[in-house]
Amino acid sequence: MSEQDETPAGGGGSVFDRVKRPAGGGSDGGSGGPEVLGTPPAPTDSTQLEEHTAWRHAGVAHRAPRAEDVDRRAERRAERLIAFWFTASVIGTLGFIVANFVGDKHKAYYTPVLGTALGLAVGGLGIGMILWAKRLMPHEQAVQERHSFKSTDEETAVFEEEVALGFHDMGLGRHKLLRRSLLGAGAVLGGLTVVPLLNLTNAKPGKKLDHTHWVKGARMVTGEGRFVKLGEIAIGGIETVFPAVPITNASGETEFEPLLDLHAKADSATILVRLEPGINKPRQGRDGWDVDGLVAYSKICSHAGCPVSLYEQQTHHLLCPCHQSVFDVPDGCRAIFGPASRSLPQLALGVDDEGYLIARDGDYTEPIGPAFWERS
Amino acid sequence: MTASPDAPEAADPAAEPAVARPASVRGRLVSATARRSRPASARRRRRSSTLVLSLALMATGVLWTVLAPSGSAQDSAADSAAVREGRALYLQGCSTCHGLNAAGTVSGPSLIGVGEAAVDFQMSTGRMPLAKPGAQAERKEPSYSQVQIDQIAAYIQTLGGGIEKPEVSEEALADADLMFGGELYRANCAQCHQAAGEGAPLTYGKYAPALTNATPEQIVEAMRVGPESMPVFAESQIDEEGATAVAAYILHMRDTPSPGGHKLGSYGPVPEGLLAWLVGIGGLLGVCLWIGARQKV
Amino acid sequence: MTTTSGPGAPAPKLAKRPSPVRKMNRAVDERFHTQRSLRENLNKVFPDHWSFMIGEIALYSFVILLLTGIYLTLFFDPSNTEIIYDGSYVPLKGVEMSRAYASTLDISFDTRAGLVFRQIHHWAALLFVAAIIVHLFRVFFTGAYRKPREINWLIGVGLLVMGIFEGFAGYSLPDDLLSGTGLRIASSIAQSIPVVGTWASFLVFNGEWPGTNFLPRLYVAHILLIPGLLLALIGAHMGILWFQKHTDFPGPGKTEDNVVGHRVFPVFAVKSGGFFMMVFAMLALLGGLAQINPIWLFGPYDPSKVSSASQPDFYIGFLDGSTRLMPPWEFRGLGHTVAAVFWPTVILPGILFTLLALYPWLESKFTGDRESHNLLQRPREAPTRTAIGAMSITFYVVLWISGGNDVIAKTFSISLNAMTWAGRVGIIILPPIAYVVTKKLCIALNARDHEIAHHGIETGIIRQLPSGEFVEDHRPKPDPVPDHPVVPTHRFELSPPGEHGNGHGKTGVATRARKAVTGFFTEEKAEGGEEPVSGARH
Repeated sequence: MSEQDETPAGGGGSVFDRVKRPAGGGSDGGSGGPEVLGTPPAPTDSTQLEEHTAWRHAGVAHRAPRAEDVDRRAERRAERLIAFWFTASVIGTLGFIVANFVGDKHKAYYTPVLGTALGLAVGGLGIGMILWAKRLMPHEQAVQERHSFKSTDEETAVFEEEVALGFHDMGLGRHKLLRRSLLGAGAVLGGLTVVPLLNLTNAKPGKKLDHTHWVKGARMVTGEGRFVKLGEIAIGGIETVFPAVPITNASGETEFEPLLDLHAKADSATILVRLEPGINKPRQGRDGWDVDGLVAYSKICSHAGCPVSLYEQQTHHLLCPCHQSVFDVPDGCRAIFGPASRSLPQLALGVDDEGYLIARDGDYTEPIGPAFWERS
Repeated sequence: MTASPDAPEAADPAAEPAVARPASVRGRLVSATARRSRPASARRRRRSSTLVLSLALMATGVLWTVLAPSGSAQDSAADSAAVREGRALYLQGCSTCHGLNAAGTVSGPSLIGVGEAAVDFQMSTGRMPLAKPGAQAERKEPSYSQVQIDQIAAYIQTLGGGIEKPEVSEEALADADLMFGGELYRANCAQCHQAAGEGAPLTYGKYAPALTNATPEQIVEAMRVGPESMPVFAESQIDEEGATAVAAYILHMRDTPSPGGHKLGSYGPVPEGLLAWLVGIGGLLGVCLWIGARQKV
Repeated sequence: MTTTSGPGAPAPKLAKRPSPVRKMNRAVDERFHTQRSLRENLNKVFPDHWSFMIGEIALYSFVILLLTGIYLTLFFDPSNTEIIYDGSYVPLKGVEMSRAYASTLDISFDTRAGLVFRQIHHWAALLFVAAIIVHLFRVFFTGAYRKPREINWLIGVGLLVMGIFEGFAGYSLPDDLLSGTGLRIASSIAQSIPVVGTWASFLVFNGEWPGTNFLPRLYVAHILLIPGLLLALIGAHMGILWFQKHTDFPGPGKTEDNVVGHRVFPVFAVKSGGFFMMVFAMLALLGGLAQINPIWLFGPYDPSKVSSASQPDFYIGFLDGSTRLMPPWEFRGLGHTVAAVFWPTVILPGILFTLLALYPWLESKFTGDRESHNLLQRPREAPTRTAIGAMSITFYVVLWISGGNDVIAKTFSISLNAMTWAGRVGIIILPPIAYVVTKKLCIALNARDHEIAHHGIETGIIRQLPSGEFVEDHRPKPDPVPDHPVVPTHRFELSPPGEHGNGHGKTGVATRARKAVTGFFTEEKAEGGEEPVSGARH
C-alpha cells in the first residue's frame, strides 16, 4: 500500500478548489499543474450547478497512472480477466441450476456441489466487479466538505420560542384540572400495556414448580416403556426413569400409566444409580430411601435444569455436561464442584409386591431443578 | 467390575421384561412391528444357545470356586490348550500388576470374576497392558494378537467366571434397527460419548473416549462390563438386540458421509464458531485488504 | 454517468432525444423533485480504508440472512405438534417428534437446495454477529464513536444485542436436543430473576417448562419482531452514517472539515457491490462445504436427554463461560432464593452492555472532551482507551474460551476441573495484565513516534565524539507517506490541554473522585509527552 506522492501534502486552499481533469489526455485537454487521475463532473458550463457540487477533486495523494491507464494492451488484459470472472459466474449459476434439478438430493455430494456452484456464481461476479473498479475505473480523490451540525443561535432561539408559544396556547399551565386528568388518563392507559403481557399465559405459576408428577406407589418406567424391577440394574449401572402412576381401570384393577410426555419428563426425570453395597451414606432422615444399593435422584440439575447424566461408576460422581457441576452420589448427591450449590433432590425408593421399583413416599420433598424466587 | 450374586446375568435372559407401551410415549418404538417381523425363531435360537452356554460357564465357574481349594488351577479346570497358553501369557505379561493368582496387587485390581468380555475389551483396545499410569488408560494399538487375547480371556474366564465375550455378527448388525439403536444411543450413550460419538471429558482428566475406532464387539463389551468410569448396561436393561442396534447406529453414524460437507469433527458450535472466525471473518478481512490495497505500478 | 478513462473518449453530452431511462427520470422528477438530492447522494464521498468495510460484512450477512430466511420459512413448520417422522433420514424414521424438528429434517434431507440454504443461513448468522464485533473493535480503537456519533454507537450496541437474541432464537427453533437444552437453560435464567422471575418464565414459555405451544411464539419473534427491529436499527444506523458522513484517518489533505475518497457513484458502488458478492460467496462456500448444526445427530428434544459438549453458538459462548466459572453462590433467606445462575447471565451481561453502550459519554465525561471529531485516532494515540479495550477483550475471551472448556479439555487432554480453575483465575488476573501491557506498549510507541518526529530515524551509524562518547546518527524523518496515517502534527488527545484538573475550586468527594478517574484516563499525556532522553544529536 504505497504510492507516489507527487505533490506536497496540503498544498494550499487553491489546490482543493481546482477541478482536475483526467490524466491520459482527455478530449478537453490537460490543464496546467499536477494532474490527478479522476473523473470530472459531467461537463457543463452551468456555474449554478457548480455551486451545488459538494465534492471536488483534490490535489492530494497523487498516484502514478496504472498500467491500464497508459497501456492499451494492459487495459485489454484487465478487461479479459474481468470477463473471465463474469463468465465463471455464469458457469457457476448454470452449475447450480443443473445440480439443483438433476442432482440426487439424497447423495452426499448434493449440498457441497450446490454450495460450490453458488459460491462460484456470486464470487465470480464479486471478483469481476472488484477488479473492474480497481483496474478499469478511474481512481479519484474526491473531496467533500463537512458541515457543522449545530444550528445557528438564531435558528435555535426562534424554534424554542415557537414551541414555547405553542405550549402556551395549549394552556396546560393554566388549566390544572385538564393537566392532571390528562396525566391520569395517560398513566392508566400506559398501564394497559401490561394486560397483553399478562395474557401471554393462562398458566399461573402457583405452586407448580414445587411439585413433579411422582405420586406414592408410582412405578418407575424407562423412556422405552419398561417397568424397572429390582435387580435389573447391575452394580455400577444407571437408568433414567419416569413415573408410571397407578390408576384403577374399568374392571377395578390397578394399572400403571407411564407419564412420558414432555412435561412429565421435564420435571420427573429421575436417575437410578446402583452403588456397591455399603458405600451409600444416607442423609439424616433418609434411612431406607435406598433399596439394595439403588438410589434415586432427580435428573434435573439444581443449577440450570440440564439432565445431569454423566455418571462415573468408579468415583460415583455425576457430571452435568452444560456447566460441569459435579455431584457426589453416595453423599446424597452433594454438589462438590462447579456452579451448582444444592444437592440433587432424592426420591424415596421402594419395591412393590411384584418386585417393581416404586416411589415409596410419593413426590420429592423439595422442588427439583433450578432455583426460583419463591423457593424457600 | 465384580460379579455379584444378583447381577443381571443371573436373571433369566429368556424372560421378557414387563413392557408397557403407552400411546403417548415420545420416541416410543413405533417401528416395533418392523423389528418384530424378523423371524423370531432365529432370535430364540440364539438366545437359548446363549443361555446354555452361560449356564455351562457359570456352572464351570461355580464348580471351580468350590472344587479348587488351592493354587492347583492348572490340573482342575485348565483342560484346554488355550487356557494353558493364556495362563502362560498372563504370568508373563499381566501378573506383575494383577498378581500371580490374578487376585490383584497394589498396582492392579483383581481379575477374578471380571470375565472374558472385560479382558477382550481391555486388551483388544490396547488399554491393557497399561502404557503409563494416568487418570485413565488410553486406547492404542493392541500389544497382543487376537488369538493371544482370546487365550488370556479364556484363562481369566476360568477364574470365577464373569461376563462372557459377546458375539456380534455381520448379519445381526445389518438387520439391526437403526432407529431403535439411535433412541438407545441418545438416551444412554450421548451424554458422555457425545451425540456424534466424538467423546467428551469427565472430571479430573478422565474422559469418555471417542467411538471412532471401536468395533461392534468392543462397543457391546463396554456396555456389559462398564470399563473404568463407564456405567454398566446389563442385558436386563439393554438386551442383546438393543446392544447390537446401538453398535449398528454408531457404525452408521461413523461411516455415513455427512450430507452437509465437512463434518468439522461433528463437535458442534465450538468448531463451527472457530471456523466462522478463522475462515469467514479472516477470509473476508483478506478481501477487504485486497479491495483497499492500491496496485503497485 | 457516462465517463471513461480511455484515451480519446468523447466527452459525454446530453442526447438530443431522451432515452427511455431519461424520460423516466424526468417523469419522476416532475413529481418528486429528485435531481438535486439524487445528484448530491450519488456524489457523496466515502473515504477509502479497508477497515471501513468490516461493518459491510455484517450488513451483507444480514441481507443474506433475509434471503435465505425467506426460503426457509417456505418449508419450516414452527409447530410443537407431535408427529411420527417418516422422511428419508433412516435412523430417525418412526421417532416421535415435533413438526418443527421434522420439517427441519425435511429441509435438510428432502428439500431441493434446502440443506445448503439452511447451512448458509446459520453461517450467515455467525458471520453477522462476528462482523458486528470486529466492526465494534474498529470503531472503538479508532475513537470513531466520539461526538457527534455517540447515537450511532448506541444503535450499534443495540444491533449487537438484538443480533445475539435473534441468533439464539434461530438456534432454538429446530427443536432438536441442542435447541431444547439451550432453551431449558434460558428458562432457568428467566426463572432466576428475583421477584418476577417465575412469572416471566411462565409468561414467555406459556407455562411451566417446556411450556405450551412455545415454538410459534419463538418463530414470530425470530422472523418478525427481532428482524423488524434489526431492520429499523440498521436503517437508522446507515441513515445517520449517511447524514453525518464517514470518519477518516488523518492524512495529507485530510482535515476535520472534509472527506477524501471515492464518490458513491460509480467506484464505491461497484466495489461495494462486488464486496457483497464476495460475502455471499464466502457464505455459499461455507454453507456447501462445512457442515453446521447437524440436527439429525442430536435427535428431537427430550428434557431427560442431553449430549455432552452441548454448547450455544459462539456469540452466547461468553455467557456459557461465565456460568461455568461462577462459584456456587446461591442466596437463600427470608423464604426466597436467588439462583447462582442469576449473577453470570443477567447481572454480568447487564453491566457489560450498559458500560459498552455508555462508553462514549463516560469517556467524554472523564476526559472533558466535548468537541466533535471527524478524524480518527490510531489506537496508540489514546493509550488508556486502547488499554481499556484490550482489557475488555481479554475479559471476554477468557469467558469465551471457558464456554468451550470441555471441548478444549477433550481436544488437548487437559483436566476439565483444571480448565475451570484456570478460567476462574484467568478472569481475575489476565484483564489487568492486558491493561498494563497495552498501555505501556502504546506509550512506548508514542515515545518512538515522538522521537522520530523530533530526532529523525536511527541510521545504525555509530560515531565517536571527540569526548570519547559514542552516539548514533539520525537522519531526518521523511515526508509523510500519503494516505498512511503518520504522526499527526496535532495529537488528538483525549483531553484538551488545560481542561481537566480545573475543579473550579470545588473539593467535594465527587469532584475529587472525578479528578482521580480523569487522571487515570489522561495520565499517558504526562508520560507520552516527556522529552525522550537520548544521546542523539539534534
